[in-house]
Amino acid sequence: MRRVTSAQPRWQREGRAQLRFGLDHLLAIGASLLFVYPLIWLLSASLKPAWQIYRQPLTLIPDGATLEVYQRIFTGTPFPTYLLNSVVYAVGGTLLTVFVGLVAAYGLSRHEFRGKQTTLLLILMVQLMPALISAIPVYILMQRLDLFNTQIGIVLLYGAVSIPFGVWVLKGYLDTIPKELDESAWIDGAGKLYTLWRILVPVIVPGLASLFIILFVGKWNEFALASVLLRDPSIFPLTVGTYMLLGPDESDFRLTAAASLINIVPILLVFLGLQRFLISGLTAGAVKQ
Amino acid sequence: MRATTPAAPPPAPTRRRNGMTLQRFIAGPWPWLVPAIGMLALFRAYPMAHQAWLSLTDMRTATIGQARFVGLDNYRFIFTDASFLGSLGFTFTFTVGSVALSFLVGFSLALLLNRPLRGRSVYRTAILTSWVISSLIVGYMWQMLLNESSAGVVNGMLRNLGLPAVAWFSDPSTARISVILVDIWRSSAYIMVFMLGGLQTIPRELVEAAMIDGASAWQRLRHIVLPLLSGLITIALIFTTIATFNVYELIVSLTGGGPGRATMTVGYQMFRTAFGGGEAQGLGLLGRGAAMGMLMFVFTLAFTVLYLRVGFYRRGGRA
Repeated sequence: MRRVTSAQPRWQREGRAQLRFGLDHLLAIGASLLFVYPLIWLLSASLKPAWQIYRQPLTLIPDGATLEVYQRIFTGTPFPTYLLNSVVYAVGGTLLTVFVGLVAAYGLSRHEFRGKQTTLLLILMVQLMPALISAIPVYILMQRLDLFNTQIGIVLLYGAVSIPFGVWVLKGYLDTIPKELDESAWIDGAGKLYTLWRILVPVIVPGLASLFIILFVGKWNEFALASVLLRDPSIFPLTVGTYMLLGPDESDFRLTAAASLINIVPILLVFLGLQRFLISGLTAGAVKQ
Repeated sequence: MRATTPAAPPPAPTRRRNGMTLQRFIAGPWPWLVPAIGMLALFRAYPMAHQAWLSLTDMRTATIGQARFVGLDNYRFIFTDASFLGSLGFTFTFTVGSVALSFLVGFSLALLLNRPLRGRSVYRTAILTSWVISSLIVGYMWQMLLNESSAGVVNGMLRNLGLPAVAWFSDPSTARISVILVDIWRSSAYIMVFMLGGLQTIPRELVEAAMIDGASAWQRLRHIVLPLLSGLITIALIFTTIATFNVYELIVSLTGGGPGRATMTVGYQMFRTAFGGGEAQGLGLLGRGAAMGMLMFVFTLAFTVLYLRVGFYRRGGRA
């Protein structure tokens, strides 16, 4: 065991602290670059004129940037439609989960009843089971319900699969609000739904926002189920449309880079805008009772 | 709850004391839970149960609804199929490698960003951008960065350093490592945020007291931080394991399972078997795909039970 730090001369301690401080920043910058550099590279590759992709030495700054490949994607492929579809699926699915989840979370947070623990346990178990595992039976189910290859089918499915997570997160937030707050309101004659909407919802706005962004990211990025359940290109989301454009091994770097960025940029903006709500929500699934 | 209000009419003598009346049902929790439970039953629970049945049939995409019961044939097939067993093997390697290293990287990043670092929220944001990108796109991106042609930037950097280029995707063993590396890039940010949340709950005085007592950084980590976070660590590991074992999208765009079948996973095989994906002999075998789905289900269930034992029941004591 090393001796107590204060036994060392002062200059040595300060020098050490500064070194440590510099090292921390160096490491943090290095790590950040590792995560951000690929995105910068994507941008660079998508803007380069075709002849520069293979030119040695490889450079990050394009020699005369061009938007040609973006133009090609936006005018020559249904990407504008894909983009719109992705918004519909991500927003629709997220709102559905939030509404259904909020109502259920209220039921669970504000009532004590026999079977409550079992209900919570079952919800948690469903939450941990990735929806992708049951892609095959879901494919059959959607055909039987006449929801196969429909937008409403995707919204319903996206809404349904994340309900457990939504219930857990929102119940966690509702549990932190004293019951007296809403009880006094509905004893005064307000309906329970009104109480939930006008009294509780305003208090848990941060929770709703964090749930919203986490769900939105997941649904925006979903590929596996949508690729199986949709056949008609006019209702593809971006992920499926991108796969249709690029396939398993597209070799045109500019096209791949631009298509990838079109997937990333909208969700990145949402992320940067709502980021401050995100951190609490990410851990909520595990930390909240 | 059992006490009736004086104004209420006396209950009919034949009714059970706890019998559910309509009013009591409406006043209770169930109306609130019906939409959620209904949707979960239809879109989550029923498919899971249906999959068990499907896996015992020879259903194909062309014969939905008129499947023949074939007993355990599908399971017999997949467990004697060298290609599937290979995928299963790689899936385990991938899971263990990726989860262990993602955790190591994610936790190290969390420790780093837990230090008093000016601008650390900027660093956190930078790292967390990897979390918002879909696996499909992460695959495309790294397929280009690690490309073996002269446009591949990682090999270009290695060349600049005077190092030999790496056959990231054309050599089977290297391709397996590449897939794991890319998955680490994809999943360590989540672990970082998760563990950072945990680290910030540790009282600073506790760590400082140990420092004054002369405990080294490693000793503080080993004897204070890790024990305090053990519950959270287990939960993070289980979450990540479940997601990693069921990997599919990343493989689609990164390697397509190749070279040969080196980087195929169970999830990838399931989708290929059931929904084609180029190989005619696998086209539309829903029954056999369902057997693979069941395998994923069983594995995930095992980890879920583990999670519940660690995370759900033990939590009461720890709060």
